[in-house]
Amino acid sequence: MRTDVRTLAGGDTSVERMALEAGALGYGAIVSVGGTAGTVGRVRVIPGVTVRAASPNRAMAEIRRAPEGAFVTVRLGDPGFNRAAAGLPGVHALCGVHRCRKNAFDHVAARTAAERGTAVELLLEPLVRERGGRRQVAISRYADVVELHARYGFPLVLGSGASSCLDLRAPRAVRALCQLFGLDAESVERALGAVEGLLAPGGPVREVE
Amino acid sequence: MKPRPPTLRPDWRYVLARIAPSYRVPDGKTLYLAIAEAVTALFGDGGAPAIDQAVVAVERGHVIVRCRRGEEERLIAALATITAIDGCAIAIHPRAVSGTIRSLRDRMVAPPEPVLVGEDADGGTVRQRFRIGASRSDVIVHDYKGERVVYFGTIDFEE
Repeated sequence: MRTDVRTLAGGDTSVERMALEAGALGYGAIVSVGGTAGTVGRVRVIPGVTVRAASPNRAMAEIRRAPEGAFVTVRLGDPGFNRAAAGLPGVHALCGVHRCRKNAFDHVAARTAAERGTAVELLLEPLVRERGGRRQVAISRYADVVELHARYGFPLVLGSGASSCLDLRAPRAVRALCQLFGLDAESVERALGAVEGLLAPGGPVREVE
Repeated sequence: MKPRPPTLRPDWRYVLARIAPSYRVPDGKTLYLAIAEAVTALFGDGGAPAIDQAVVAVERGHVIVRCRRGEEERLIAALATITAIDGCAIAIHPRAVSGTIRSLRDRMVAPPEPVLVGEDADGGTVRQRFRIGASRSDVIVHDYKGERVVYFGTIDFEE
């Protein structure tokens, strides 16, 4: 089931309409940050929580407050925080890698994320909305994450960052955009379908180098 | 000017894309300029000529864009970066790629026409409510700030 892991409730589009448009584009679920759980037609709406904290302790306190069944993401920051955040229990994905300094999400954080099964979220919004230097920085950061993903095997998830239904992008467009930073079509499909596994882990134990 | 023999002509591919919202379809030239700007911004002056895009048709809420064979994915990526035309929010969603325009025309499904179901004025604010198909409803608000659209669904949200 393809899932857009970041749509924002509270924009110019209701959650119902966002789910309808996502369904029309070929998604089976959306994560709605600020939204409530439910189903619209065949599209499942998963509530999302984004944690922004200055320290791992404060992040942990916020993660505990997240409602049950929510998709919890922690916004990345400096390298020390990122290493700790990758290992926090209850975190499904790490977001905001395009806003970090170069190498802030490093090989230690990548290995921890792989061991704990924590995903890294790649947001398409900076590729779509930004121009020039900011877009180039985002492409560069994402290419770095893809390289670490190939080495350590932590999951990736993809989100549009849509606050309007016009900001959603079809899976075909997502595949084309992901080619900009070297993520192939197969990996894109895996990333779009990774949310179910993150919300309900329980597969066989996998050995990570 | 004598045309080139067929073996020397470039191979073209055509991308069919749906324009959203369907009632804000711009004309071909405006669309061409927006696509050219998006392609140049994303791939630069060096990459844009390799794509060699052109708007072939704008009809029934869709646009058909031509590009060189092998450059379809880059064109689709550039189309995905278009967020507004003439100050109006817009999205271009790719639907199909083909070697002929005819096969794309066969795949075109016209979007439902918006139907005005209500209009009210409050001071300087005018709200027009449109119903689009069975499950979508758009409210266009005109006020001193200009025009903005609020998008709603009309089917039940099951918790």
